[in-house]
Amino acid sequence: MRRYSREAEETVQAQDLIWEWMRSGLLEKEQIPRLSEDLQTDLRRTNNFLRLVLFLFTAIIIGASVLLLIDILHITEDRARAMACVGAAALCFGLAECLVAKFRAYRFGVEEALGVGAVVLVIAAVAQMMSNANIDSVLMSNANIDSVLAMALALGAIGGLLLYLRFGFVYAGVIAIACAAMIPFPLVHPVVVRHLLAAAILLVSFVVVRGNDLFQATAWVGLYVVLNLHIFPDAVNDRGWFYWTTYVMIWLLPILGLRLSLRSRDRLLMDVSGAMVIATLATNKLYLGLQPQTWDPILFGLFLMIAAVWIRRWLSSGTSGARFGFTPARILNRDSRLMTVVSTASAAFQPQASPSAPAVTETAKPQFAGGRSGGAGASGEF
Amino acid sequence: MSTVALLQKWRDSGAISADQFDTLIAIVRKERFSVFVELNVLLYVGVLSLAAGVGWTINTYFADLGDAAILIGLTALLMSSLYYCFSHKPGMVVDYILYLACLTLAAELAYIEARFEVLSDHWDYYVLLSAFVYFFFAYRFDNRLVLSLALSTLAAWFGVKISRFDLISSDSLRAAAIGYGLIVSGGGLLLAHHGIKKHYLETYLHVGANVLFMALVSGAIERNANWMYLPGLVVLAVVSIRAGLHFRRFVFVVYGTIYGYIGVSGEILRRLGTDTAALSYIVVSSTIVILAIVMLARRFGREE
Repeated sequence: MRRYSREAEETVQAQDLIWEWMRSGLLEKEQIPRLSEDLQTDLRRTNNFLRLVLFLFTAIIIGASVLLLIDILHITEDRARAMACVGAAALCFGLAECLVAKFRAYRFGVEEALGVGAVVLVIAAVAQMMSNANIDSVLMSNANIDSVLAMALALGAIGGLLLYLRFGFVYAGVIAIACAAMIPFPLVHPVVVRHLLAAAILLVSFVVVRGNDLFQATAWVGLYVVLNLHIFPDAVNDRGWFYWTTYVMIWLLPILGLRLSLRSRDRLLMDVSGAMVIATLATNKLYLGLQPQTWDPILFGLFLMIAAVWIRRWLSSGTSGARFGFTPARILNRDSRLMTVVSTASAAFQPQASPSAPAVTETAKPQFAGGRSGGAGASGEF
Repeated sequence: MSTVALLQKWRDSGAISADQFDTLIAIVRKERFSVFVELNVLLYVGVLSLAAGVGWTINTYFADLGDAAILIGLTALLMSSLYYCFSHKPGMVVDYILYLACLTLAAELAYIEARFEVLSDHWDYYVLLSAFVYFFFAYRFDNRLVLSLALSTLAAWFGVKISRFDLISSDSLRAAAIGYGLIVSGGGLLLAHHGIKKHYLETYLHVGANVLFMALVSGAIERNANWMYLPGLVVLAVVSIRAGLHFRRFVFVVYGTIYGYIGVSGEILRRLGTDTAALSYIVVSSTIVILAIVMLARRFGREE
């Protein structure tokens, strides 16, 4: 089933690791050629930036080509359009297979866009067929739209899973889990049942994918999102047993996740569980029906800062600056690069507040636009 | 072969030393596990939440609290934050306390001007002053987060300056953006050339390049804009791609390719009369882009 052998993928991962270790000063540059001798592979790769461009433009070509075909052949009937999409999907998948088999493309962008494009085209074809059938009988009702949506989600789940199993695209696996969990939402009408079904799908996914860091973190965070009724837009107004059960769950899930992740040193699960703790604290008052106070964010911010400082000091005071293997120090260069990217990107979304003096009289009430503060920029109001 | 087996093989063959093996095997087996990024995220979210809460509280209760209480509170927060930064060695916590100090300074200046109108029509000088203070702190404490704040505040000042003209036009805003982009990029290059915080250069170039590209693309695709935008965009795209390849900074290749494609395609698609012609153009031009990028990808392989 798999297009790439396990050995080849392990070799690729090891290649990435030795470069990362070299950048982190753990290996000398002169050692790399010798180590690379053991890491030979016939797979062709590119860097992530060029991969992104290749993915984007391949996706553009797929979309434009299908529309061009429909335009040139004057295909106006829905069934014929659906067949055109199916044909294009088959062609895309075939091309992806060909690129991998003949040119040994691996995470090259083009074969990824072709694979994803094939799944999207199949979904488009089936949606077109279903909507056509519905229009033939009666006007599209909400129920029909829901069934089309459910079918699209089911196909997305199956397609994502197939892409992961065939090519190893991890994001396709993530999409498959997300789509599978969302299937009950258009199909099942009692709100409680649809949340419970989605939670059950995600719980089963979590158990099935145990061992794969990304997938289990996805399932875990998904489980939290469907159970936190103040995050998910499909909120429950009735404060019955289900509401209070979910309240207990939004406290239990992050704690359980943190416990599991700290024991297995699973970074992704630890990070999503940490994010879940923050989300639980942020939605706690809403859950309890208490009035939010303006000083809540101040206390929350102080709590986070004090927690970070305390954890850092506690870990640093251990033997060799670590406790139980956990250290606040940076080990790999990629952590530093990540912080650089985040701080540079933050230039685009800095909090802003500006003294738009001409609009303010001495007695007027100042308005921090949208509750933002700081930055002394121009986009906010005061 | 697993990574552990590879490391053992390399140690046995002498390709890596015993010390290197011990360090690397501890990382692979997760016996040494860094929470550096997680602690940074906690501090960052904490500072943002605190600053937002301060703003919200002032906004809601300023009439009850009174000017004196608010200004004393903000000044105390600002001074204590700055005292902490100047009295401790630079590090993770100092970085975020400094960021909090900068946000507090901005809130205080904004409040003073809104309530007392000290500079009245020239209030934009507060923004410029803030930007300079942030630049000073960014260089004094080697803090890239504050540098980004300084750059966005300087951008805001350019925007404010333009908005003070009676006639605000897209062209005047674009001119301000281009001026800002050139000053930021040029300033970054100049400082790096003189060896002042060379590691900041990429931040300057990312911000400057994106602002320049956005201004030129918006001019190139607007029907009634000056014709000079398109040639300017093409020149900038070529420079960005060539420099990106030369210095192995492939994100600038992405900027040049995507912004350049949008600008040029916008102009060409406007002149194509039919859907068939437009779709044909997209298919052909995208194929050309892909072929060019594949050639580059084969030349540079996995280099990041």
